[in-house]
Amino acid sequence: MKYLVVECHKGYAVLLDENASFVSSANLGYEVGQTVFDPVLMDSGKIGTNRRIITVSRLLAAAACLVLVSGIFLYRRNNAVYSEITISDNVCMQVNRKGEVITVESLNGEGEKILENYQAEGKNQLDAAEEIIKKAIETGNIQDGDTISLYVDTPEQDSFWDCKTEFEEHFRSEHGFKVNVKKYNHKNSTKNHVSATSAPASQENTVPYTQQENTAPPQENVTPPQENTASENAAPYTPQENTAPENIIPYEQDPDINSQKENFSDFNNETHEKNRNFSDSDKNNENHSDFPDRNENNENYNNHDNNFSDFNNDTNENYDNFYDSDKNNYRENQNQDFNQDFSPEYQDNQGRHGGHSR
Amino acid sequence: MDSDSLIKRVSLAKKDSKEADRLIQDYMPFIKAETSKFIGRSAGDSDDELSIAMFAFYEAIKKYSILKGSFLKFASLHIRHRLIDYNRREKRSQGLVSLDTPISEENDGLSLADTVQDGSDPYEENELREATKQEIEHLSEQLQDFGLSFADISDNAPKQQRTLEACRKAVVYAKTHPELLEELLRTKKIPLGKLSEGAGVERKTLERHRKYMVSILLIYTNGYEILRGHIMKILKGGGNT
Repeated sequence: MKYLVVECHKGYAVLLDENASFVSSANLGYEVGQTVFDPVLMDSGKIGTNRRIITVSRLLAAAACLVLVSGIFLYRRNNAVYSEITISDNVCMQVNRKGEVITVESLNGEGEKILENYQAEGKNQLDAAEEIIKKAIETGNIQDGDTISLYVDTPEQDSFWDCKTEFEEHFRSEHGFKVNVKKYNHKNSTKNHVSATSAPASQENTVPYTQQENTAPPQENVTPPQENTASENAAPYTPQENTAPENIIPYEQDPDINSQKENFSDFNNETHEKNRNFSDSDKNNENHSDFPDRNENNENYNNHDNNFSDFNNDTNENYDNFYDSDKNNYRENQNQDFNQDFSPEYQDNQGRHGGHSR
Repeated sequence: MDSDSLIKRVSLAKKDSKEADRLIQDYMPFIKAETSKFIGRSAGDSDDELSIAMFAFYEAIKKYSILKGSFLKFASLHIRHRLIDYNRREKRSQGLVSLDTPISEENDGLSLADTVQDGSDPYEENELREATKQEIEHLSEQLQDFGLSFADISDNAPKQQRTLEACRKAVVYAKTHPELLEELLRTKKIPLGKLSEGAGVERKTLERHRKYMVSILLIYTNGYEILRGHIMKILKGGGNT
């Protein structure tokens, strides 16, 4: 824009622009009547314009951030894979957070047959699973009455339980088959998805899941009885039977023990089995009865009836389990001085036997 | 000079351009010192930076209020910011070659501008500038009859585009009704009622920018062809550039 210099002062000049507006500018050696093109003008409305631009830019940036964040949220909710559900080793569904199926893929030839002319995208995971199972029954991959395994891979434990409840509720009564939902962690699996699920799934089609689980021996809980022969562990609490005081009540007549036995009657078979193992090993502890200090402990026990009754529940449970295995051990252990020094050793011994502590 | 008297002078200089000039003259050492501090050498009278610093000082006078603290600190800050802006602006045009650059050391006095044919006649240009200067001086004298100066008009000129547009409508209406311009010259008063009614603009808007309206209406009276040619856009609807 052209400016006409109309007045010159020492510190500034007054210019007339082409829009008939008078403006002040720096006087860079101007003379009246001179035409200038790029003067240094006084800050006036332009600052406001700049501020408006800055404000609008900030608002636009904030809006863009909002759109970006909400876009990411919506994408994660609608399009991102949240969990994977594998049905009977044949079909794998990828599901979003809302429980809608994003993609379905077959894992083998049988899966391809099942998914022939079938579209599950966008459907609810329950409906899609039901339709796929029905198609599997139609194609003969699954027989009526079979237990069908669904392997669910979710990032969170809570969502797995929600999914499990949802599926079990849905397939509870009105269908001719049972559904068993199991957790499957895809990330922790060293094998690929197909091979990792194939082994249990092929068994599940013929063998009910619950039976399989119960028949499996808990290998890690089996404890070799040789560990109990260690003298340092068995010595403090396994005195000989003939050293027991005469006023001790027989095991069968002890009302406390009987009531405790009732309380713990729901102990599972594993626990009893472990206790049996434990008692077998305790028989070997007779070899350590020649410790002189133990007789003194037996005599002291008569003065500690009250202490015995103050034992907490945990100790009583262990106590009961321990005696439930063997009558002789019951008598012997009543002679023990159940002071505080004993308890950690006892529990330590239990731990070595692979026993449970509740 | 104590701070109270300085503040009084500043408040006077805000309204009176002559007092502003005197204040700038009195504080030239301060302005030069600030400029020298910024450019790292002694500022000469021909330095553009010194002109910018003086303009910044004038701006500081116009924008100062007692709430902003010491005037000299405020002015110092303003000068510094203005010089920073000017430096940035100059850096943008660093790659350009000035037309005032000498052609060679042998041809003393000859610059690039002398070798470029721009089709303009320097004598004609000088005549035009002289004629423009005479018109401006004549207008300035006429404005003094109204008790105005260009500096006052500059302070009173509309800043918003909408206000400028309202004033433009009033000027266009006055141009088509010469009797209104004659009335202005005769009575030394703007016929605001007739203008606002005829142009369809708010009387209050014209009242607020009375000084500006006087100057523009005077330009549209006889004898200011060059100035009217310069502000031709106002009749074409105003430029939003």
